[in-house]
Amino acid sequence: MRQKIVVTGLGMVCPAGMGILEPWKFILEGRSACGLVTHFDTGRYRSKVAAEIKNWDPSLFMDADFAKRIDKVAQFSLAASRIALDDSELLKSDLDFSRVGVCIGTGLGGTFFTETQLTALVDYGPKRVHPLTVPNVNPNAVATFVAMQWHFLGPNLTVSTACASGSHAIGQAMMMLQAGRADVMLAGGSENPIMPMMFAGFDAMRVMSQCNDFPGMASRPFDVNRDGFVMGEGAAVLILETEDHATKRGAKIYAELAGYGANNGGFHMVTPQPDGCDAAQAMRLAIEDAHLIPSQIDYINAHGTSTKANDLAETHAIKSVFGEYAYRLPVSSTKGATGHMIGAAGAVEACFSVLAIHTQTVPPTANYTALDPDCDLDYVPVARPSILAAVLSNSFGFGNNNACLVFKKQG
Amino acid sequence: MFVDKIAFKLIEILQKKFPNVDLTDLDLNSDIKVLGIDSLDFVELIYDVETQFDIEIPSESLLEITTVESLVVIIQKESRAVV
Repeated sequence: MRQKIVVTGLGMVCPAGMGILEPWKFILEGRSACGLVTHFDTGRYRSKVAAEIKNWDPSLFMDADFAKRIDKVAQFSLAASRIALDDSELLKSDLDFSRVGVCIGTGLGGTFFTETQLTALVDYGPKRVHPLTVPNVNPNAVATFVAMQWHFLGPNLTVSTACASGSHAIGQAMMMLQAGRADVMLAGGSENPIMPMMFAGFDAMRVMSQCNDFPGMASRPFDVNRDGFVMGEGAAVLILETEDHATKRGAKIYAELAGYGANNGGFHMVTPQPDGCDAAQAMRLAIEDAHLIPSQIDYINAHGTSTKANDLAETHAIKSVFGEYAYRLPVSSTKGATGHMIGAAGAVEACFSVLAIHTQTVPPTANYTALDPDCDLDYVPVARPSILAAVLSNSFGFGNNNACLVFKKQG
Repeated sequence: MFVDKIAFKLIEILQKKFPNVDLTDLDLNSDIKVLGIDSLDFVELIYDVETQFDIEIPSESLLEITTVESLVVIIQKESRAVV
């Protein structure tokens, strides 16, 4: 019999807030953290909107001098890890550090160093490129700095599957625990994409909202007037443990991580399969892995990016998996509030899925006001108390990288 | 640039780079190792020195750096080379 994997800690640093309750409260109130970009001048960009973390102060979470030497993406993952560790009280227990691993996803890696050092190279030549460039540009910095900080000596992985990185990381960590390779895994995602070059790249693809006049309304998943995603930044980390390990140390258990489905659409670099057939298959795999049938899912935290293509394909996919039940199944996207945090999106949404079960409340889709005739499911315009035994969290990345997770109420 | 001026600026760089290290007893004869720095800290320090003094320190000179004075001498030599 396979080991049960449980969630015993959560940590978020995201545009909706820091910690656990602050972002959750923000989400439930239906607010949006999207606004005009302040990190750099967007004068010549098409899109000028992002969901930023305001007044970021890494010294609240780590030594200030150490923070100066690492990329913002690693600062985010360290901060989220610290919050999750404190929440789980893991470090207060008698811990075998060789049995604690880390698996954190990132789509873009150390973008601050990538961009600033490229500028240094062009402006001043190769001898002015900083010696800490390589360890900071390496995507695995988001996981290795966490291991270094707390001396976690178990498996250390970084998963990079674009917008699905966070969900894949959680799924791979779950498999590590099930395979007996570790007792505890810190799993999640981190991203620092609101940088001039990365932002320009997404801007050039014309996939970001240009709702510059009403930035607070720019991220509006499933709404008929949606015109692209809004970039977000931050990180989220979950403490995953085998049930035995969690029970033995008397940990509080939020929920069970019961299912993981991963596949690829093999179709296009950035466009989803229009009928969502690959996304549907990923959902089926996760539901089967959790030993459930589709009608036992009580809520879907959708990928819901607020692009025309994703939200339509995802709606098709949900209908093909759930049939008539799809119309009675609440589906919401928290990206209306947080924007799209790329490699951190799946992780922060996993936290919200767990909190939905923990508080028995369906979080709303912020900014959902006008029905799209082609997207006609229940997208939950306001938060709703509900009986939630099982929740599905969807992540679909560029390159048709799909990862779905199923969380179950414990007991 | 005069040696004492270089040394003064170097101490400033060291203080900024290693704020947790007590530099009060540091003098020209002090071994760089007293800063408790590892190899990565060392290349960062050289990077800062190169940037602040606007010089280039050749890799073969790095082996000669043992004391604060030896670093000052190299800075002085390379500063002249730039002029």
